[in-house]
Amino acid sequence: MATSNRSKPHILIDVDELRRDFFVGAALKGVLERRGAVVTLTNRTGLPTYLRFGHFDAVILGNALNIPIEYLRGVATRTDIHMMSAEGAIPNDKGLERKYAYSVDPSQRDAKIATVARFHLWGDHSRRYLVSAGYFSEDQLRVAGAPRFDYHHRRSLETVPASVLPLGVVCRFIHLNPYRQLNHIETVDSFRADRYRGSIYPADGGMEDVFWLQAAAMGVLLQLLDECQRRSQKVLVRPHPREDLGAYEYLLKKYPGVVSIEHHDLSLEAWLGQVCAVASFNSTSNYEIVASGRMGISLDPLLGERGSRHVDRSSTMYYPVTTGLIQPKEIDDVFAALELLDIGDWDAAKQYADVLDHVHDICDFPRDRPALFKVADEIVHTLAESGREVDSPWLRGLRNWACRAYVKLVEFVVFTIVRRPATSVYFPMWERRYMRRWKVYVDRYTEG
Amino acid sequence: MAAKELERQTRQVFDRIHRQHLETPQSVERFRSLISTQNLRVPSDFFHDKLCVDVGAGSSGCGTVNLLQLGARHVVALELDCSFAESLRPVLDAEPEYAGRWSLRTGSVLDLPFADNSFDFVLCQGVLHHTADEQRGLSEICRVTRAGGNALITVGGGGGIATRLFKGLLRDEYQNDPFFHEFIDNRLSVEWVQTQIGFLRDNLEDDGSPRHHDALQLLDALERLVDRDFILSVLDRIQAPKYATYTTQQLEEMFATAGFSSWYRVSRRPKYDNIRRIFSILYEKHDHDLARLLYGEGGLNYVLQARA
Repeated sequence: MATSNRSKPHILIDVDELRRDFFVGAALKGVLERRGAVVTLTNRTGLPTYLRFGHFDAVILGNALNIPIEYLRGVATRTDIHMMSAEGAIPNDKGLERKYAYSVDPSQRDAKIATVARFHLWGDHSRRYLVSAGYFSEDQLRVAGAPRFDYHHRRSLETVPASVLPLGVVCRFIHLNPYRQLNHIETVDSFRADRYRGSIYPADGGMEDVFWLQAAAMGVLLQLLDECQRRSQKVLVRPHPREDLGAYEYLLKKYPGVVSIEHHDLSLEAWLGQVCAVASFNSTSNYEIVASGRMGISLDPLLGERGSRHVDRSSTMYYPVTTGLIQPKEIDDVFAALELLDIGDWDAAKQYADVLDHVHDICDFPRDRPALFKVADEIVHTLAESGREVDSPWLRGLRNWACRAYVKLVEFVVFTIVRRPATSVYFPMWERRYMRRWKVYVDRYTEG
Repeated sequence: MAAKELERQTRQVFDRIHRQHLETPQSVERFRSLISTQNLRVPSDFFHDKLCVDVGAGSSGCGTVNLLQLGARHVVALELDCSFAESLRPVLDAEPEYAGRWSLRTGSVLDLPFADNSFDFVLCQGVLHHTADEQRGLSEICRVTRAGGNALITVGGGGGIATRLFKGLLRDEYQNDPFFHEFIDNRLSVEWVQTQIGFLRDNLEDDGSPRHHDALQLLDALERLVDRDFILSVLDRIQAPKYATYTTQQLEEMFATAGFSSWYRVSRRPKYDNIRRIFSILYEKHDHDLARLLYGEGGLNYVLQARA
């Protein structure tokens, strides 16, 4: 990369969820800066401003195809910006199964895919999927590994009895309990067929399936918690970052001394260390559970027949990782599984033997160096190959500075003056403060 | 004071002190090496495969780190509220060797959030003497220790001039004299002590005698021997809302009542870089005349065994 100040490439990195993506985004920023780039980290609230008015040599997005087409198209038609989705490499929770792979709306899908220069993928498994899906050119796809999983692939967790650590429950009631206290009608409206059919719910399904699934999951969760209360089994609940934490007061009051709620402050990898086992519904956290060696319990079978008949639970469909987890037929089976931990009769290596190879294939592991460096290599390589012209350096610097000032001003008003509560997905980008607080976690992504 | 309120206030005081410990390398080094298999008189691989809990781990979690360094399979650090996670989690996360071997829980020693017989080893250092009901705390520790498992308990012994000065007189002053209270809370620092030593040195009458030279040397040495670790030790003794002391007989009766089957006292000689360096031998030789005079019963460290 060019190193003179005026000709340094400007790169924008999107941080979708603070507690999950900041660590990776900040680590990638550090690596790219050491290679001579000027890098800006942005949250999703600042992203539209940067995309619309900023000038960057490259924009690194996680989950690029969830970004509205207007922004993508606007950016891609300008001559100075490369779109490089680090799909999978920068953490995202969308899978790559063919039937879901960016099948949102065929016209939008193809247009979106065309705007993106490179998709950095977790592993060859993803590449094979996308090639067979037929929407992508091979030239767009690069296997770079998954920084998100690096940590767990290197270090597994010690098994701990359920009498010592609580049972973890991963929740994902993002439409029943949306963050920012959205009106539920707005939530329903936002899942209209014209926007998400074929993406969030199947092409032949309806948006009500999404809500049915979450209501059914809540029903199972309450049954599970009733039983935990009866058996004095402690439970640590992890709400989804896109949920309203305040609503969980209900569970705290209903199950005093049994349920505790983990605030969004904790990354999933750290959270896994705080629980003896994890019960979840079709969560992408299943990858981490398997990779870390924690006991995983899939609650999907308890959803009954409609759960599999009417609702395609997307993340269970992407890869068969969930099949490696314990599959209870009734609530009591969950406690039978926990008992295995108490008597020391549970072996992660044995339990996950069948799915672990698959997880490695998904995540391109083992590898000789951190995935983050591979992502950075690909970005640098793509920029070097680029023949696109850039804006005059001083104009670009001025525009990006103005964008930053505007975004900071809005954040100051919203979070400091109006005092809107921050969530993991709705947060100010106080980069220096977060770096001070989370340096250990950011540095982890560049460890050998 | 109600038990809950006492716990809350104690936690507040120690959260402040522990966070300063983390910024003081001497304190960190000392607290992380208090336990050794040698002073516990157990085999060097004693902690391997042991599931441990550090009850009242504090915001610095030095006991937890100590156990991890000794090879514990897994250590649960327990503290009253989740505020300790903010400072302790990065400390534990920073060491790759500890990965996957620790977890943080909240709960009180008076009502431990674990099932019976959960742990091979329970560590409870400097906690019980701050609680409203130490007997109940000991019973809880015994309950969660598996049959044949061990606990290490550290509390303060009674008697002795130094003990009575710090845990009696100065605590009384702190609680009753607003000026002294404000001084301890806001002004006592290494810099303050050094300023006072400087004042004494500047005003020392120089009569040309060898004693003048000795006095100067003593003040110079004192200046070097008062560090932040020492100041934090003073604050620990004075600011805690409750600081009970015990005789060995009282304590051993409590062990029996709690249900422990056997116990033995252990001693240790912590490493100090400050004035306490002079006295550290007395912590080890707690039966020495000078130790009895200054510290009475001394620090009471006991290894307990739960009934098999």
